[in-house]
Amino acid sequence: MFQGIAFEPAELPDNAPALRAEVRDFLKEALDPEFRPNSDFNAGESAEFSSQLGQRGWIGMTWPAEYGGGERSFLERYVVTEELLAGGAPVGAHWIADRQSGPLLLRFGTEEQRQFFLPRITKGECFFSIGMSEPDTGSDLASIKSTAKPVDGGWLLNGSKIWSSGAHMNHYMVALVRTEPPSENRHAGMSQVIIDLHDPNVTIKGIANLAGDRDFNQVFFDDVVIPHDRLVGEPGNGWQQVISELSYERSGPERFLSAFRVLVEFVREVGADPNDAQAALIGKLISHLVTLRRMSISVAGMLEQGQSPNVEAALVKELGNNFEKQVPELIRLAGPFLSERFSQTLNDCILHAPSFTLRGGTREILRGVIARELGLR
Amino acid sequence: MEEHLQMVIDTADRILKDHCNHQIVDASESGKFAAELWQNLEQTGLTLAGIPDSLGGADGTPAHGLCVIRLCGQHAAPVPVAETYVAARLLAASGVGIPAGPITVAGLSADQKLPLTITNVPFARWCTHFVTIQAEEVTLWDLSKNEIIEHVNIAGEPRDQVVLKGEPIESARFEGASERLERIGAATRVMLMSGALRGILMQSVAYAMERNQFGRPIAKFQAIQQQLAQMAGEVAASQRAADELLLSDPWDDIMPVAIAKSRVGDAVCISSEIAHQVHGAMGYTRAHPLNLLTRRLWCWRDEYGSEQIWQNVIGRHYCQAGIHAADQLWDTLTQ
Repeated sequence: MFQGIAFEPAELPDNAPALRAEVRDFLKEALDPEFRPNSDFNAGESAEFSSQLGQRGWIGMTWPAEYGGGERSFLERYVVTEELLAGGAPVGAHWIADRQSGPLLLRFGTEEQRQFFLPRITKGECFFSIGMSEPDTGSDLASIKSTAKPVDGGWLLNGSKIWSSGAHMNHYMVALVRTEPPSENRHAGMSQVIIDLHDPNVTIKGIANLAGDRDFNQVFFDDVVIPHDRLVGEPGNGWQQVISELSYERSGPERFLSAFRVLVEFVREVGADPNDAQAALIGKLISHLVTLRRMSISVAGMLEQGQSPNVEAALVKELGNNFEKQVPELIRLAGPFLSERFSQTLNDCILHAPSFTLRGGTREILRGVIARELGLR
Repeated sequence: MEEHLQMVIDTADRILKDHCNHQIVDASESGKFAAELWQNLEQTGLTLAGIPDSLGGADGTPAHGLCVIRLCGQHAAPVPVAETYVAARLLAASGVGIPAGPITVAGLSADQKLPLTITNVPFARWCTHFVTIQAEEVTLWDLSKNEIIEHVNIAGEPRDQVVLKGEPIESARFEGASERLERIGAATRVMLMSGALRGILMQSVAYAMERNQFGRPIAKFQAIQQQLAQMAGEVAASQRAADELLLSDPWDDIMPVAIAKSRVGDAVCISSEIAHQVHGAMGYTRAHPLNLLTRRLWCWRDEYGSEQIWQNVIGRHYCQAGIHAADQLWDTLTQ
């Protein structure tokens, strides 16, 4: 399209319809029929549900069989993840391990780390949190202060991480920490370490979000010993490793489906005979959603070919998050609709919408990534 | 991308670079036909790309013609390539021979009778022939024998009034002609807009890098970077939505063209707004080329159905299952 930016159309594999049907059948059985689904990946978590997914081979789908993976394509994984989200499944427990931590270990981890963690992740028994932000570090990730100092047998970690979703329920955290003092090259001297969240020197404190959910945490490290074999990749290579996760993190269907159930409930309210404004709004939202889906599938296709489509992923997230935020705002004006079910879905989305353009890289950071690709910076 | 298509694109790009510049587009807005541009496109077969050789076309798939039209949009080409494509496809389908030269096209309402007065006919004054579609009737007219009253749209493109008095050259019926006109017509506007959107993004990025204020290029300011990044998102989405029409011929399927016209049309407002904001007062002048594309975008988004009209079509399609529509929505979207 423009210099290095390209969304080459990708086709879903022939077995996609069968795979979809399998996931839908499973969800019908696994989820309570009275359950009011929400399509936000962060909205629900259930260790039991994750374990059932693991049994079906839907965690670590693209990973090698020797680590418990399914050796399936990124496009097959795409189908399963979008089905789970659209069906409102409680995917929060294993989501980060499946999307990010596992692929990180596959790429940079030691053989021992892969052998130890990956099979557990694929069984839906081992959940990860992300440790990036700190109280004084948000978008400026290179300003982190948590520091691991070399000691006998490993590293001694002090500091804290914040906004770590699910840390109070998960087993491990992959954290970006300083292993060398800051220098002229501010991206140097950082490393990724795996922290056992049950370590007695780790303290986890919950932070309620504005919707009243207990999801966020601040996690404190007070002389936590990180054994040598729990450092991921090369010491000092943390920044490069974090950057390499971004196209996995930013391009998936979770970046544009968070408000999907609001659209579903809107369609339910208007029935077969919407007025012109309502029909046009449904059409507008669908035309954006369909296009985003095609772009996200393009990125999955590029990942499958071994490329690193970081800018395309940033574009999917930028457009997708803006779309997710628009959905409830436009639909609320097309009413009023009085059913309990509609109001609950809409209000739930409005309360969570501020997070859409923050989590996984703020709008401003994403636009910076895109601007760099345009040659502006 | 297949080799033949790449060759078509490269040839069109070269001809447009050689024969379509600011001066030529400006001159067209003062009434001068870009004859050399048209002749070069016609001689290389690009004005009938995607039309079977047996019917007088240049062969290739329908996507070839759409790719040429996209490039015409990027260059604001003031020639009826889109109209000739639509007319030729309708003539080919109805078995009427395709004449040489530029052809324009318009739909008539079912109750219109001779003498026919038709407004907003693109480029009529520069075309040799005219195809009208009335319900299932496809009719070919010789424009030299009919009256043309000149009008232009806000982009200075001829949108003439034609008064048809005499006998047509030929007429034939084919089922679904009117719907085909709407779909293919809308598809050409999608391609023109997607090309022009790419054009204004490239111009805006280049301008931001060469324009200095406060001692540095304005591209170095985050306020500018953020706007251009947002525009790049809109343009990327437009390209992807338009690409879908290259994969599945809009002739056969209404939904991809409805989705593309809606999505690309939605991108025009924000993208042209940002392009002009970044260009400042300079881009607001007639002398700067930006307006050649933005004024056309503001016209093309309304032709063959505004985004809202197509959004209504999509919305009604997805609601037709009534009480089941909500629970079937995801299934329908993923089929």
